Amino acid sequence: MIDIRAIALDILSKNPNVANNPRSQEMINVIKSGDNAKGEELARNLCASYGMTPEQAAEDAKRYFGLIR
Amino acid sequence: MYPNYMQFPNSPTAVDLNPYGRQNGIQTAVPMPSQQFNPQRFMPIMYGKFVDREEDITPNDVPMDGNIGYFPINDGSAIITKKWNSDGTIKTVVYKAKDEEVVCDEKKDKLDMLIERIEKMEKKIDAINKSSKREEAKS
Repeated sequence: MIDIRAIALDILSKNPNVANNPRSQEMINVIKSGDNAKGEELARNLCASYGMTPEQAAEDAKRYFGLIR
Repeated sequence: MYPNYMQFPNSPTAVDLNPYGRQNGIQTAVPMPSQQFNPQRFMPIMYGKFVDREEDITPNDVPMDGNIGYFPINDGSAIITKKWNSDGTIKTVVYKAKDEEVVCDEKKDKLDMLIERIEKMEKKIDAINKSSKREEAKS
């Protein structure tokens, strides 16, 4: 079975904007660690920093990846 | 906002800048003095922008690479710095300008306090002198 999570992480890690960015690396490491609680806290903090709700962020992400129109 | 100061040595612009590099389409083998840009000679890059108020700073203005973003207020009243924390929050520090008149007032207050204390000490010394003179007169 294809591990979408591993593929997404691999693509993200190889992106130069992420690879050369210590802050992004820290966030990637949280995802890699599998610590769901910490990941959720990080995501919620990011949403709050950008002034949006997690629901709005999820919708934006879906729209970005073409899952909804 | 993030100026790209890197110059690619093989770019046509870099070659064209060297007047001796190419003549009549023939490239000389003689090594020429390099006019290549050296980024280490320049001041470190500061990230940020001038803003009218803090609300004008968006999260996208804060560098995601761990650097601090500096946002001076246009009227010179403060400088705001912002930095992404590893937990996804943004740390904000506001440096406010201290009014020069306030500084002068503080100095004046300190001077007034010192003068007042000196006057009190002088009065006490006078009182001691007077009492000692009275005792001398009695004796």
